[in-house]
Amino acid sequence: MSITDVTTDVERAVQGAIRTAASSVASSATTPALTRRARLSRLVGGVVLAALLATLPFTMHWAGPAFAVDYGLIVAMAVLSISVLGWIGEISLAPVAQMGFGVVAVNVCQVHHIPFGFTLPIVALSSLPISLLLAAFTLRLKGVSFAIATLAFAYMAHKTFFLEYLGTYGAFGGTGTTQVARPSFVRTDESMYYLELAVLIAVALVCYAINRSRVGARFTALRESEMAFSTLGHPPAAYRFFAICLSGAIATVAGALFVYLQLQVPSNLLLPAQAILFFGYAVAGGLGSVTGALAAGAVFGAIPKYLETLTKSEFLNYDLFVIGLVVFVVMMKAPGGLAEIGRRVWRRVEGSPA
Amino acid sequence: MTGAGPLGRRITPAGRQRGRDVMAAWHRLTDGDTVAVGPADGTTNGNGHDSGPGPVGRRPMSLAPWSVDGGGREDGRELLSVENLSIHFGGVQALRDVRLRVRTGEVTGVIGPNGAGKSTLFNCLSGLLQPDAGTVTFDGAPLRGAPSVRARRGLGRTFQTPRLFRSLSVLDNLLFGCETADWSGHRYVFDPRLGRLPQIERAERIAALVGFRGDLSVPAGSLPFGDLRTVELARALCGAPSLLMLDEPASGLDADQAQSFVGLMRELGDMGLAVLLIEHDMALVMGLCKRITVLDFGQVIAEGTPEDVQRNETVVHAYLGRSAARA
Repeated sequence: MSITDVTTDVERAVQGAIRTAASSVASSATTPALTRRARLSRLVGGVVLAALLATLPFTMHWAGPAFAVDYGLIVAMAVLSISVLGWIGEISLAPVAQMGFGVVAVNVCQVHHIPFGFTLPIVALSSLPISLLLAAFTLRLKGVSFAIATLAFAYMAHKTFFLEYLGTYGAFGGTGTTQVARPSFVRTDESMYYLELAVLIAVALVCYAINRSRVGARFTALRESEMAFSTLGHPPAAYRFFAICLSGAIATVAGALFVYLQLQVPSNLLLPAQAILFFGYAVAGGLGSVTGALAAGAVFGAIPKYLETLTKSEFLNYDLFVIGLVVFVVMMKAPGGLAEIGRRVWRRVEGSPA
Repeated sequence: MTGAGPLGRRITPAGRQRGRDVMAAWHRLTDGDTVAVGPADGTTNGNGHDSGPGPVGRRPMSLAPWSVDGGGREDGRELLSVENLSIHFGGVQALRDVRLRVRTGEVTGVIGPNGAGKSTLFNCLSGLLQPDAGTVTFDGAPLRGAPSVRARRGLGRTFQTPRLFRSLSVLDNLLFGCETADWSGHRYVFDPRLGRLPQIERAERIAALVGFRGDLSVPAGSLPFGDLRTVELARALCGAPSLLMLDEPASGLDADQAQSFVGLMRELGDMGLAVLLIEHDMALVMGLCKRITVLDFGQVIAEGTPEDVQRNETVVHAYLGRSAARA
């Protein structure tokens, strides 16, 4: 028994403090020392990934415009918003509707001449009322019932609000504006890419930090046994509300970036059916995985757009078939999605046991 | 008292000694400087149980004296009072006018045939089910609210099927209890000094207390069934409960583990913790509990000391059927 080794109160206190400080997720298994090959792989992988991300819009010019990878980043963020709800074991089909509210919020900010620096934080905060409404559903509804309730909400929002406000051409009916204006520093799609990338990295880091923290452990506990979680003194509703609000903020910011990219967002792009597609991407990416969501955004968001350009729009005749096939194959080969495939490949690269 | 009787089997002295060994080890870890709590001459202790000879039930010198505000033993104070608790599911009356008393420093048993409503009673007490009628008073105030609120008032529980967070490590599971203890500000009835320790060290000590000797960093889902029960018990204790509700804690334990459990429960009871126990192992219940409530078809059919319950014909009938009762 390890604690028999601890002989004095002073030693115990020091050891306890060191252990507490050493790990935010206190319980995690001891991380094995990395082999030289693993360290080298991580270094090289990190450099290659950073170089790729830094130059992507330009290195992929042969395949299509920067719009494709811009769109991929937005899909990644939307998928991430769905994936975050996987932490509490819930499925929401409202993120596309929440993206729509992000579109509207950007327009409202521009109408009121709010500087761009404040726009994204305001957009994120503006997601709260809708998120709290959706979170209130979870007080009574769980699982499939919650998913259907969010789908119903998305249809209601589309029919009663987006169809009226954004219309067929996304012209912000009633506000006197026809499209949003991008800030001067992101006039081109290439520069827009870096804005999106910065926001996505920030969001992904926040999600990763939450998932690795004690709050992440509580999400896991809530997902695995709500009964035990609650009888241990932890309020499930608080964690559900937090996850749904986080998801809503990500989706709403994704919507804001979407309208900055497109300048106009017709209401048909916010059809709730799109959320079902994004949910499929999230599952194929690995529900609950941050990196899986980002990978899904690239695979299912950017690559089809590049293929569309390369095939002179011929790919549009088969895009959903091909995407569906890829999702199907991924799920058959790796139920954990792209995240699981990525982990397997990376283990081989590092030479660590599978 | 050894728990022998018509409904059960005898608890061996070796098993009891094993339980004592666990507690003695625990106290050695807590503080080397100790004084004896229980009588060391083999006489019965305040709970009516034979304490046996030797350095049993030792507690740190610095913890004395026990007092209501200072933490520690408060024998016999009524902690939980259930009056006329009723609940139905559709056409099934799961509980009808159930009355129950639990006192500090005592192990109280709830027994009954399968489907008698024992687990339903636990779920009503812990807030997972809302009863149709009845009042529950805990520590002098009505017990209401969500399960998390009740847990923070000092209600700890385990489940019939262990509900550990399987993908989290054993230590992570225990920390959930420690967090609750810190949030609620409750003292650990069985050792108030635990509250001053960092959470990780506290969790390690309570794991040692319940006799878990495995690796705390492994996922809880990888543990054998007996260890799942042990860790779940440790997790509940980490929450610093003043009432510990155990739902069939000995089922699935091997003989050694069950004997250790008996010793541990006895010692925890002696230290002032109130324990409410559902168990089918009659030897264990009769040997451990000071009072027993018997449920059948959602109703209390008997209540009293183990001896009273064993002699009660209604109880024998409920368990064995009318012909056996006559025989």
